[in-house]
Order: sequence, then C-alpha cells, then structure tokens
Amino acid sequence: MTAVITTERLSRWYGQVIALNDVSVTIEQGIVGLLGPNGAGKSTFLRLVVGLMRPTSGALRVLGAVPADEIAWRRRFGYCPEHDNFYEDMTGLEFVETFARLSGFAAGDARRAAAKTLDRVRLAESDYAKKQIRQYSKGMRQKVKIAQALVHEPELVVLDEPLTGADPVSRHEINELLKELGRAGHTVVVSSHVLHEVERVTQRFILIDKGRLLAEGTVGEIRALIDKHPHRIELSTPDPRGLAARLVAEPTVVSVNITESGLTLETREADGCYAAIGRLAGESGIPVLRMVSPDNNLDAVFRYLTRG
Amino acid sequence: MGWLLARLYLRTAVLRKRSVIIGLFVALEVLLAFNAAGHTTFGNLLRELVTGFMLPVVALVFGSAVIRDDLEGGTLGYFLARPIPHHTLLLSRTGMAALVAMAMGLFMTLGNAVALGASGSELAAATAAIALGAFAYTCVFVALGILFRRTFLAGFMLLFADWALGRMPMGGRFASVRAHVENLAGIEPPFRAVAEMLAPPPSAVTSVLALMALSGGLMAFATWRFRRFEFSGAEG
Repeated sequence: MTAVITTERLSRWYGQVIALNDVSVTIEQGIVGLLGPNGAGKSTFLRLVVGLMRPTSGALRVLGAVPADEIAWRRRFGYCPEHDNFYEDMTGLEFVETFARLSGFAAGDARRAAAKTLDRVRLAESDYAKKQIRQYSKGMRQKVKIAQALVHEPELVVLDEPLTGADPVSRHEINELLKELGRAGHTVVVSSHVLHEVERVTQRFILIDKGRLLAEGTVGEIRALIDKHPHRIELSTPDPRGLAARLVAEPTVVSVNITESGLTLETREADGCYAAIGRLAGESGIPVLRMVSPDNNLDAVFRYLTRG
Repeated sequence: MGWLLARLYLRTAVLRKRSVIIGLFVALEVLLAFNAAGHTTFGNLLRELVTGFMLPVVALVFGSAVIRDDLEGGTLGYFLARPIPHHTLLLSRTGMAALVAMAMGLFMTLGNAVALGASGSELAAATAAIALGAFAYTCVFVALGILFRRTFLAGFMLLFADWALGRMPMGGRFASVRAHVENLAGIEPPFRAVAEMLAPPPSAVTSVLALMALSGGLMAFATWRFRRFEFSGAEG
C-alpha cells in the first residue's frame, strides 16, 4: 500500500514548549485513529499535516507534497478543525457552499455539492437550508464542520476530534460516515481522546502522548509490542479452585487469583495460555462459562503505555 | 475567488456589533455638522472630527477585522486549509475593508460639505484626500492586525502617535498620515506658528506619493508576513 502521510523525526515547538517530539510514522490508505489524551500533540500533528503550521524540525510529506509550501495541493485534502468556530449567522448550506466555492467549485455546482454533502452527513434539509448555525445543536455543528471538509471530495480527510460533544445518535451517524469514507477509498485520519469511540471505526491506530509516538498499528500489534507486560484473563467457572489448581502448573501462566465470579490469571504468552485453558477445561471436565481479557482493548493498552 | 473572499469579508465584518456602532458614530458626526452650521468652517470640522478622529477609527475597525477577527474567531483555519493563495486572501479582504472605510469617510465628507456649504473645489480636494487617507489607514491597521494580538490597543496607541506627530512644528508633522491627508484636502494646520511658515507643506503630489508608498510598503510587508503565517486555533 502506498504511504499517504510520512513523517521523519517530526518535531514542533511552541517557544520553550515541545508539542511534538521526534515523531516518525507512516500512514497508509484507510482509516487511522490518532489517539492520545488532551494535550498529547494530536491537533499539532494534524495542523502540520494540513499545512496550517510548519515543523520546527524533521520531514513531513503528505500525498507527495510538503504541506505548508503547496497551495493547489490543498484541494486534495479536507480538514475539520477541533474548535467549534463558524459564521454563526449563516445556514449550514451557506457555510458549506462558501467553502465549496473556495475549493474551486462554480456557484451552482457549489450549492449542489454542499446540499449533497450535508445529506451525506445526515443533516436534515429543513435544518441546513433554513436555520442559522447559531441554532444548531453540538452534533449538528460537528456535522457541518465535517461536511465542509468533505464537500470537494478530497482524497485525504483529516478530522480533529469530530465526535466531541455530539449526542449518541450523531456519534453513531458520524461513525457510520467514517466507515463509509474508508470503504470508498478515502484516507481518513481521525483524532480522539475517547479511545473506544475510534475503536468502532478502525483497528489501526497511532498512539501519542506528551508529543511522543507511543505505538502504531492494530490493537493486536500494539498489544504484542507489550507482551512482556502480564496479560490478564478473567474466567467464569463453577469450580474456580479446581481449574486454578490445574492452571498454576502451566508454564504460560504467571499467577492465578480466585475471585467471586471465577478466577483471574496473568500470562506473558496470551495465545499459548488460551490454548492451555481450552485443553485443561476439556481434560478436567470443568466448564468455562465465560472468558474475557480486560487488557485486550485499546483503553488498557493505552493505560499501560502511558503509565509512568 | 478574490471577489468571493471580499464579499464574505463584507458580510461578516459589516454585520458585527462594533461595525454597527461605528456606523452610528458616522451618522452622528454628520448630524453634528448640521448642528455646527454657522459656527465653524468645512475645513475646521473636517480636521477636528473626520481626519483627526473618525477616519482613522473607522479604518481601525475595518482594517483590524481583515485577519484578526477570523484569527480570534477561529474561522481563519477554514480559509488557510483551502487552495487559496495567502496574498489573495489578504489583499481581497483589505480591498473591501478600504472600500468600506472610504464609503464611511466620504459619507461624512459629503454630509459636512452640505451642512457647512463647502465649495466644489473644497469638496473635490477633501473627497480625494479622504479616499486616499482611508486606504492608507486601512493598510496600516491590516499590517498591525498581522503583527499584534491586541490590534485595537496597538491601533489606538498608533493613532495617538499619529496625532502627536501631526502637531510637530517645522514640517515634522508630515511624518504622520493625518498631516498628508489634511495637506491633500487643503486644510490648514491647527496652528500657524512662525516655524510652520518657514517650512512650507509639501506639494499635493508629494503627499499622494507618501501615502501610496506607505500603503504599498505596509501591504508588501503584511503579505510577506502572512505568507509565513501559522494557525494554531482560535485566539479569542
């Protein structure tokens, strides 16, 4: 797959404060979640990607260009900023149409493209055509921001915290839209500090904190990077003591604790341990009613990576 | 694209509360001129209220809005992420800001001329001077808006400096925008000291060239600075 965004030792300082520190990453076509807590450097990274800022040091290429130096190239991406800023007296249609025209559309085409895009982000025509933006809910405002980023059908869509403040229905609709963009062949970079939300639209992530790249890849790949950290598995069984007695003898198991609902074990080799649990349950006849790994989600990975 | 950007500026800047307030002050100035009929001359009132106060303040309001309002409001990012050359964005909006400042300046000039019975030649000279002055002041405040965060504060300090320079003797006052505007309009300075008589004012052509050079230089500088501009979110 071809790289859409490549950075090499990318850094950005604000005076004495470092916002992004030596980030080297490659982003390919598809949906990528840029994750990190508030102040991690996500917005700075995205502003560098779309050319709103220049790197202090390091190299950055986006769709083959150096972002801050290219003007015509900007037709190829759409940017949805984090901040909730609009011309409040405009309708959603006027707002999106204005930026369609500034992307090179003729007047009539711009209006049609704006209406089509606002339909696509699932904003009702009665809202976007007649109401001023000042009357919109937070979710509707997020959709207008996303629409102005999509109206010119860019190859790369950069969305900075597009789910912030949106109600559950709007979140679902925005998530569906992101998946649809990914299926249509767009590259979508979506930032968030709410990890489980982004997990619904993609399995590819970049994790940053305090301006540093912590990890990149799928949840599984990132999890594999930290396999030396014990991985917890929770089991529900009617005979936790019997199963625990067999599991402690397994070389893949680090520790076993009996709990109210069953037992929790720790392992440094998750795949081997899962196989052992199945084998031991079969041999002993002790049923395993439920098996979950609380560490096998992005929140847990992120907590582990940012700890200390 | 430039016309679209200019119209968008017109729509967003003119409808703001402070633009409406400045519009009311402009109307009030004309009403004052009618009230002052018979007590002062066209030249005196133009110097005291229009070139000395209202014209630069109008230009400050509209010139500072060219970049600073969108920067503080956070909407500038939408423009900078589009395929719009920075100079097109800056110059088209500056052009519209200057036109609005000119329109308000000329409204006051015409109102004062009617109220105070100015001659045709006085009105013609004042019209040209106010139009050029509005343009020069707008360029000053556009550049200031790119350089400083607190444009209004910096703008009022600069207006005070311009006012102070405009009262310097021996031709020193021609270091101010105001003195050139008044020179073009054919307005007598507020004092006629001996020193002033020893150093006669420059010709109208010199004043035009001085204002054009100032405007052009400032816009070239502002464009250069804006090309390197970075947007890191709303500053308001």
